Amino acid sequence: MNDRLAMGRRGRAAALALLALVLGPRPAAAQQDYPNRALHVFIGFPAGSGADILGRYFAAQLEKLAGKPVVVENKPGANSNIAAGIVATAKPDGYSILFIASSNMAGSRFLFKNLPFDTVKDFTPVASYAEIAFVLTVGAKSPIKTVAELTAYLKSRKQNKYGATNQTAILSTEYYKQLAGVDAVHVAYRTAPEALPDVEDGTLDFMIMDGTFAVGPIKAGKIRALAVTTAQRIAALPDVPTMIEAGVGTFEFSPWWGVYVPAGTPQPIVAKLGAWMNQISRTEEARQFLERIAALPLSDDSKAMAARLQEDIARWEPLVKAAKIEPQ
Amino acid sequence: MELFANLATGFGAAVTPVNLGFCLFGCLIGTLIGVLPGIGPIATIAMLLPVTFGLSPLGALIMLAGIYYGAQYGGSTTAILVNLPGESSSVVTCIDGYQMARNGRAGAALAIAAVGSFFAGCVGTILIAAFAPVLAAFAVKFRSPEYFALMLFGLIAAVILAHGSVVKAVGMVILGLLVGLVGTESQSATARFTFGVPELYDGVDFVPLAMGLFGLAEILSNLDRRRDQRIAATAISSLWPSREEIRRAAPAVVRGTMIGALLGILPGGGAVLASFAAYTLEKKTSRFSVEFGKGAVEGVAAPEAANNAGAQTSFIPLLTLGIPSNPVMALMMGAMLIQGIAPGTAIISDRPELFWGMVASMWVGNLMLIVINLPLIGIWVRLLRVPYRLLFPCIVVLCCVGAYSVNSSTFLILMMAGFALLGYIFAKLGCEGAPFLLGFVLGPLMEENFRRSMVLSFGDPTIFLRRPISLCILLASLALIALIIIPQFRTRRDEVFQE
Repeated sequence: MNDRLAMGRRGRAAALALLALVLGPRPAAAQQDYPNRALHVFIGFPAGSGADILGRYFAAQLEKLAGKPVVVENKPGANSNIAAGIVATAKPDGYSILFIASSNMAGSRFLFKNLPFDTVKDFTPVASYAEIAFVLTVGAKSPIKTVAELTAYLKSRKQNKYGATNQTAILSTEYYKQLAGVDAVHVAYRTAPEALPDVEDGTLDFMIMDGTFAVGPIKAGKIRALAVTTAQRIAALPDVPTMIEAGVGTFEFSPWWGVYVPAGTPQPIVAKLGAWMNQISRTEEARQFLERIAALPLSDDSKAMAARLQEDIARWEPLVKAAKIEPQ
Repeated sequence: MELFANLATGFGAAVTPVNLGFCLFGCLIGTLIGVLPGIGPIATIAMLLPVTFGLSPLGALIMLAGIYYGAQYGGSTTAILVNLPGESSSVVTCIDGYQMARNGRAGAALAIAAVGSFFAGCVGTILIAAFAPVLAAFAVKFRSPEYFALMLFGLIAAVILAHGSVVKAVGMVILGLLVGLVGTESQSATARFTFGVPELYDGVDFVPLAMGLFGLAEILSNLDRRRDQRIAATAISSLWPSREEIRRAAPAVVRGTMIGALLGILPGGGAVLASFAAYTLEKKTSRFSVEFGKGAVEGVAAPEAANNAGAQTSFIPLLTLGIPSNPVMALMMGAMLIQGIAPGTAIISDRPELFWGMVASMWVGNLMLIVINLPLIGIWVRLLRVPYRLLFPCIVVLCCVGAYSVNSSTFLILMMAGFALLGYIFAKLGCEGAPFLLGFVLGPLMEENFRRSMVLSFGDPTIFLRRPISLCILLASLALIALIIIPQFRTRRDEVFQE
């Protein structure tokens, strides 16, 4: 009986969908039974990377709520531009979903000359899900104990150097340099473990590094944390102040992860997907999972996330110029 | 007695049912490809790289290492029985091994090769266990300037140790360097040679490059030669060598092991060079030098021991300094990076179970291999009868699957096809792929360390001369260049490779 009812409902839905197809571009029925097949999540990082592990956690939770398989597709490379490009040109039906970092959505427009998509116009923000803390560190044997001492030390010397492994770290260091009025040259490292010995013995004067990696060596006494870049302190390093607490003006610069769908995706689908993502971020389990990788949960809805992105874009533009990074 | 405690940790990690399984699987595959002419460990490891994504790091490395030293065992079987080098490092084994087989001593030759390899494998493993931590403690002093100097040294060594013309070897290293430069430069984030193709922003991927250049190009060359002949294998009577043969083989095994172990450690060395050098030494010093080429026992024992010892010790520079000494090690380094392990000084201290587990697995693997190779010899001989026209399509399909699965991108399959063509052209021109691969792997790292050193010294190039270790390595590099230029050495080098 129930089966027949369901059949009938589906039949009617199909008829409605057909009608909608004839009448207009927005198939209303497709929105109501969303999702009726597998969702594809695109991540611009290789399988097994930190970003992938984070994304897959949320994808797995999403699968439970959506009741349909969620397939994670790793399309690494070119600063996540390959993954973003795929979703930008995908059908706006809510089945192609992009998990991407703010550094890509806010930064790529200033870092690349010929982006085949516009990170604002070609995407609809759905929900944010996590914020990753970066940590300002110095060697454990260094006499410097606070950010104020570091600032004074850097000002007292002619030349300083800092290490960085990615654009976010470079830009947050530029931000600190601007707010504190200090100068230092950038030394590039491919990975944080490579840079660690140079931070440890003071070859580098300081380094802002990814909290996911930094917490281990900080607790092992190899390096000292002076501040975290998030707005709130993180549970893994409860005694370390935020940059604002440490007196660096309005400093808040942490990469955050968000969900996007192609522009033109029907509003009810965006709302449904966004509500699920927010529901996952607000669970205690998600908070504990994120804590382990020095991250905090975020649960912006589409509107709040769009505003957060605009704020970041406004922040990135002058910093990219200050860092003298040539768009490629 | 820290060594024993460490080895105990290692055996604890390696002797689990799962890891023993990986070890056995790697050794079996290694023996298989060693026996089959036309597929070597480089192509196989390259093809299996994507499979390792989902494995545990230790399991993946145990399996890949097993393939490498398994191939050294298997290669000798084909060499002795049918006079075809199953593996490039068993080229010299053909000379006297096949003659022994024709004299009715095939079983004895196989047994001596297997036991000699086992002895060398054990010594190699002990050497890694004893010296790697010492080297690693020293390697902590290695920073950007030292790494730059060391990589420069490695590239120059690659030129010296390559077969054939020096000019071609230099050309191949430089070409490898250039391909390695494709992508985003680390210090300034400038895109180079990308032609606006987003897939190239992160550089040329290692897996399709290696599979195209070695796996597919090898197939092209084989098809070109139309060597699809049915192979007639010599019958085996008894596996037992005579007392006289044992008496002559034993010291040759020891000498071969020593040479192999030494040459394996050097950058650019490894199994192939070790077997050539050991054979040359035996031939020059033996009382029975007239017998060489007619079935001398030493001519089988020494190179077989040497190639296995070399295969084993070539892990030392990778595990302690993060520098691959030959293309197989470059692939192992790729496998480690995929697993999120940065090869280098920190492996032994930060991941002891990984390092010691690998060392222990090598010994276990050598033990397995002697079982696989002696009692089961009949099975491998039968495999030699599979016609190549059935074998190569399977390999091509496996390569395509492997390349696609790296980034789930068809672009990499095209890239692999391009490198296959390039590898075929290299083979036609008599250029070796190995210096190209070393240039490709070491080049970007060398550049990165050079630029980093320069920024760290605020643009002062004397940083390379002011640091004692870096200075020593640079002087050693100069000495190597002098060796290439001095004519006497050049003729000697040509002689060695002509044997």
